[in-house]
Amino acid sequence: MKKINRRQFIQGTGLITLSGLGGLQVGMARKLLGANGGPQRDLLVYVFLNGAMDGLHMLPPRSGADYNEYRNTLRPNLHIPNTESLPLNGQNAFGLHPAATEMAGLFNRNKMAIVHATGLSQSNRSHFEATKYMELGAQDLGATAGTGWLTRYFQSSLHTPEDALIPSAVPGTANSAAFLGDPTALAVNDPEDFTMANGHWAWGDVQAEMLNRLYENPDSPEATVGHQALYTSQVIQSIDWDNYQPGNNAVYPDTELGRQLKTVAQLYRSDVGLEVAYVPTGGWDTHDGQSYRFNNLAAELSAALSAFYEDLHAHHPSRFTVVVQSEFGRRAYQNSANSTDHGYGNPMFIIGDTVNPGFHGQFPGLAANQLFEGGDVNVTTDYRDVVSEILIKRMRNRFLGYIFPDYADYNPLNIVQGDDMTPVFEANYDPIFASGFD
Amino acid sequence: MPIDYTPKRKKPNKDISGHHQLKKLSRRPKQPAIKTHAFMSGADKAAATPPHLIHRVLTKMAYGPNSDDVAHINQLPGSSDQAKVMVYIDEQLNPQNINDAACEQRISGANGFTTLNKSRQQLYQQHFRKADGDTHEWSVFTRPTREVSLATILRGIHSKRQLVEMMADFWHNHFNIFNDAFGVQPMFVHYDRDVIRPNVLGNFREMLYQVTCSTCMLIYLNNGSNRASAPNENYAREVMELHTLGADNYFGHMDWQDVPIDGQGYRSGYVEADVMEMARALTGWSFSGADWWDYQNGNIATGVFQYRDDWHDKASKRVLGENFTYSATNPQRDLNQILDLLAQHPGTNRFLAKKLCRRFISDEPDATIIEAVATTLRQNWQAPDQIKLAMETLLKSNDFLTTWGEKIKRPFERIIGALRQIQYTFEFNPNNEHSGWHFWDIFDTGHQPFYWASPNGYPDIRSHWLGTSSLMGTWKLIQRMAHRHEDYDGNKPILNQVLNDTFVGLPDTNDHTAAKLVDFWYEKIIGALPDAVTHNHLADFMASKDCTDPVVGNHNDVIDLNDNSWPDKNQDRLYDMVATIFFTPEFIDR
Repeated sequence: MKKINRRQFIQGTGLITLSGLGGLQVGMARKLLGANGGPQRDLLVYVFLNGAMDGLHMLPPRSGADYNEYRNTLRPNLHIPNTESLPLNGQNAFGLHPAATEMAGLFNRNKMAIVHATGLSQSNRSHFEATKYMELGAQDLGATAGTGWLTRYFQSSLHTPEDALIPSAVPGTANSAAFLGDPTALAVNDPEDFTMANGHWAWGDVQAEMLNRLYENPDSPEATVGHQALYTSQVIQSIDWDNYQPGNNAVYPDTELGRQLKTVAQLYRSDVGLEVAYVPTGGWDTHDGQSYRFNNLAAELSAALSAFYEDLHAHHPSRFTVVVQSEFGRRAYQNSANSTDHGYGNPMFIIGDTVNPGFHGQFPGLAANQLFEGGDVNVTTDYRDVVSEILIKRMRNRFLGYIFPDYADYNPLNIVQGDDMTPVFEANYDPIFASGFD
Repeated sequence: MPIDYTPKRKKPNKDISGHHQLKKLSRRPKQPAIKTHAFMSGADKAAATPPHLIHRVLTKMAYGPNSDDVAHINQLPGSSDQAKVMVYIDEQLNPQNINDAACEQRISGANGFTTLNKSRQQLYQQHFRKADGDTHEWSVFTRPTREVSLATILRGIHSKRQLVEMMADFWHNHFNIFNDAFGVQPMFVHYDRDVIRPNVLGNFREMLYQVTCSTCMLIYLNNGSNRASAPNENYAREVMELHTLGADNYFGHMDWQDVPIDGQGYRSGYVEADVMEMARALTGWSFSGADWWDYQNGNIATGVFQYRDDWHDKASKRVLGENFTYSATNPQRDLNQILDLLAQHPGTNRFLAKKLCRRFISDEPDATIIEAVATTLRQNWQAPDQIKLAMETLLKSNDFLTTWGEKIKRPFERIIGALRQIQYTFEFNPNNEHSGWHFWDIFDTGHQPFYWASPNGYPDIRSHWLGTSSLMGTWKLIQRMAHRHEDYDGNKPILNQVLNDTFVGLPDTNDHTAAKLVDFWYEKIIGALPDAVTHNHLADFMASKDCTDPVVGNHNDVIDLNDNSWPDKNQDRLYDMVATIFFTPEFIDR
């Protein structure tokens, strides 16, 4: 289980001392890194495309009735012609957006699985509502008891090492509601700047020491966040961010998402016990100017995901899974700006060495009578089926009813490799009590 | 495969989607495992010794206390703090009677502000698009929004109309515009000056109309190009979900006939079909410059609101079960009637009331005060001072006056609060590159005003702001500003009044001991005395000598604050000690 109060550990190692941020301390922290001989746990990276990525633009139909419907009826001024979409192995029903060349490469090298038409079990076209449901892990918000799904994941994780330094991270300035209720979840935007280094030249170091002492005994969520910030800043400063050598000579694009995923990779490879990274990225709400905007978004996403895959594959093959998802898809037909409004079903992309590559799930079709309320791609797979399978087979956590309180119907699609386990749907599961019986 | 179909909060009585409702789950997980958060359930230190009333009020309805405002309230008529505070609330509710010339002088042309008085058309033509439709170069393009940002910082620090500043922040977030959305930057002066600020204590219906017609919103949520041939739902959806009825009153994919009617005869919420109808009603509400033809054949685009009858859907619209018909003689009538309906709807007034109470009282305000504020809003929905009346209900309530620590200060509130306390005198002249450095540093806090990307505005609950990165960014910014001089070499004057306030508050230099300096500044910033542990840590620092090899001296030794010589650097140590008080967990409470 994730050990949230790490105070004893910190005292035991002398990581926070009264000597401030001096060389001795950084040296000590550095010794801690790598002491365990490499990451102990698989890494789950959850890339959330805020704003609702248009699945029909990212993964356009290429043939058959769906293609005709898409090109001629739904999107006469917006579609990707099948002469331009990128072909994907083993079928000709769907291709990828022409700017997503690296993603097509991952798919065609059997490193990517695509799940058709996923989404919430009940449609909600509000970004904020749908995102909240996904971050909190329930559409019945009362059932979440004010915690995010990843908070509950860690609370019920029997395999997270007690001494994990930074088990979870959000590369960004604000934390995600997926970690609601866990004030120790690390949000870090620019790791090199993550230190109290703006003090006066005369007294700044002593000031920083005093601050550490003020936060020695956190007694409130606010104090715990401060404690965690000061403590992890020292771990983070002991990492050599400047001279990072990505595996396979992978080149991260100089974009927000490229920097975010690079930070995740560096943290994971620094052996701080990173187990889950939640990577929020925005800009996908393309009510206007979609053709142009999507081009850039798809290119940035594709390049960043590919760099991350190459980097981690070099040193930690088969030890990581990347999930790419939006809160919902977009309307099947174009709007007055040759763009799209909010919809429902949308593909999910799963990347890693342990995926069962190819397409999963069922595409419900684009004919008028197949669309949800006559306008949206319908949902045929509850997104929690996809996530749950990864939690069980890759992260070895089977307490699905605790993580997703209004979920009781696990239907794995065999998207990733790994041993299945019998899910526990009991929402009243007590992680501490139950741990003796697992 | 079967899909788990659990209703959100209101149970649809019709299964529109064709899915079966498989199960109604009644299980609840336990409360978040408190065992692992044992220390979190302990006594809240700040709650044990709440700050005094004047401190609480200035922290909740203003950007925090400073020496001037505390002194001002203390000299107001009344025999008790409570009576004085009531007078202060009345003053703040009537900002037109407060002389704020000194603050306004700071955001004038004399201090480098050149765009804040430009008309909407001037902003469009001089900063957005040239006559041929090309855009102006980036620094010209963004100058208006940069000036609004700097003016917002200056007003936060210096304005005596603090409630107006808090309300402007509230309404800017309610009708949020993301300042990285292309095209809003040149027009943001108009949005701040003419759309939001004149109405912050005025009438909601009027503000809603002004927002709907504003160039910024027409650009940000794409209604400028919304036309009958293929409507764009973006603004229509957010008007109902974020600006008026709120997501709590969204019934999803239900048939409109099935939405229950409330006690006052209104359909109690909206459904997907209402969003589509609203989008149709909004067709043609646009601005000059939104169409390619506005730049052709000698046409001159002005950026002002333009209703385009040929884009408007003339068919009848049904919203919340009522029909609205087009009038050729008054073509804006249909949408205006819908805005009337939305503005007077009990759901809207409850939604606004809850947000106001959440902003000023508690993350989870009590139902009674929400209802009281909602009732005031609703009974006065056509009054020009509707919001002022509602705020009077709110600010004079026990819920407002007696609660403490049920919210935390967001980063911008912490920053401005700190700068008010130290009386930061930096000029924030838009032509000074140091102004830009201040501006960019605020991004590291995650709370740069006008830079929340989504139309729902910055979150107003504690959990969002309990992030390590945001906390670190906020601390570092205050850490830097607390000892800043006009120049980075430290040869020009210091930009704070900490020393001056110390000499005024502790006039006897024999009181300049570490122990008394800590208590004086802690009480000023936190509104109560520190506990022994905090006091000792701060006093250890204040009593330290020789920055090259620090030794902790006696907490009761007198420190010469007229002497800032190396290696003791007494004044600089005082500034850093004061800054550290802004980093305590107690300072974050609101």
